[in-house]
Amino acid sequence: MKILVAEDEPILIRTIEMRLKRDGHDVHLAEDGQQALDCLEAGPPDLIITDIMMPYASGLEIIAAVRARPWPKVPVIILSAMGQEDVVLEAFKLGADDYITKPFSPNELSVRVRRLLTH
Amino acid sequence: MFYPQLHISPGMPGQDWLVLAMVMVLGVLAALLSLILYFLLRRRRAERLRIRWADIYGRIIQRTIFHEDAGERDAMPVPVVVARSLGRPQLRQLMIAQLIGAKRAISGTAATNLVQLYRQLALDRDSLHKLASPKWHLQAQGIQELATMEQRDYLTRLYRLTNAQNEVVRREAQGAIVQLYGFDGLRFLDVIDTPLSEWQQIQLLRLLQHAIGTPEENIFRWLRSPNVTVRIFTLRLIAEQHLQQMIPHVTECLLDLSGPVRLQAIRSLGELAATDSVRSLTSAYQAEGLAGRLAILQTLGSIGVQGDLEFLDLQLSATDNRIKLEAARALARSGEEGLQRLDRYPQTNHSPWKEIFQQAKSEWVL
Repeated sequence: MKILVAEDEPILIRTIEMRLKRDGHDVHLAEDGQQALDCLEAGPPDLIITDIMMPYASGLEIIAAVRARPWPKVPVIILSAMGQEDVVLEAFKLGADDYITKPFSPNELSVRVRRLLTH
Repeated sequence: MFYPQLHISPGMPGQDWLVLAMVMVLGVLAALLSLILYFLLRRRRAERLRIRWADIYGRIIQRTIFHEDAGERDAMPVPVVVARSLGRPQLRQLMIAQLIGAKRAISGTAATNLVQLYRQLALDRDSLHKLASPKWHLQAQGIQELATMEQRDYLTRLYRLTNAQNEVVRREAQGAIVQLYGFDGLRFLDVIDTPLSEWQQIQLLRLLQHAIGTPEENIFRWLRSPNVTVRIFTLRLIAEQHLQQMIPHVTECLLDLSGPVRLQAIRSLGELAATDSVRSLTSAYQAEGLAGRLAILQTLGSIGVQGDLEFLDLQLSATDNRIKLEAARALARSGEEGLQRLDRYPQTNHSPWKEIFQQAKSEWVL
């Protein structure tokens, strides 16, 4: 499955990449919001994992951009920091499917990805 | 018009000086440029080196994160070249920064692996070394590192800094102790003689949100602390943790000598919905100033005062309109009888009561 990961923390994005590649996914990385929006130009991924706070474009803008396209529903998982409850609610309003709060376990993320992809 | 003319004849001794001065200036400029170039190149080389090592350390950290997944439970494999690189203080700090960044984002066994690597590389010694620094920002950094990497062995060192002279160091140490030990970490409240700032109190309460256990046995002591901010923080803690059994002790604080403590006690009683304290609140009312009175009326409004509406009724005739408004709000919130009292009030159709009652009723409907 093609998964787009948008996260600006280098170690975290590589960790997520490693975990998802182990699960056999085709992982595309975006290290800021603009790169993520550019990746979307190439076509819909099967799932998106995005941080909320990123340079150039936020996770919320990415969700809005995905939902504005005439694609079949692409599941979106939000990576949020503690205390960002309001933003998470906003993300759900925009169409996010799940969220995970940092710090999180890579194994937990893997399970959530699997769950969303099998639905 | 007169224009002054500069006459320099070839044989004048001044010309030699001029040439010499120009040569010297050019020489100094050349030396300066060379120095700037040297430092720029050195900085660029250091930056390239940092990026290279950051990449290598990043890979080591990733391998560490998935260490257990691969079925390995022994020490983290660290290549010799990496271990050697950590002989340089700048690179040790780079590794610490990368580990801290990863630890803040990752939990579970992966996080445990990161802590193990931190100890394996003896990076805790670097963090400890910072605690002894005379520079406050290094001390604060060392505290943060030890707390993030869950280094409980250094309790004594951290605990000592909870009463440090520097506010930032003190704040970091108090936060670290609470982060590591939960309610037990609040022992520093027994000894601190400096005020706990509003911001620090909020931070500590946030850190304690998911703490296991209860601070109950120490609360009596902290409510009698000579430090006013400790008493205020304790009252906040009681409300935040919903310690209903502490209501009698909070009620006693309505007689505290410090105004801010009494104010917090009033607010905490409201947050605890302490219906049994209505009588104590109304008794304390007369002795309070405007802020205290407003807080009491707000608390009465939030907890409901079914049996003491007469008291609120009396406050409607207060000279201060803010008192009138809070009393009207409390009456409106108390239910049907309170609303009827507003309607029956003799000046109900006169300004400012008319507007105040309308406001209070509209809020109640919402």
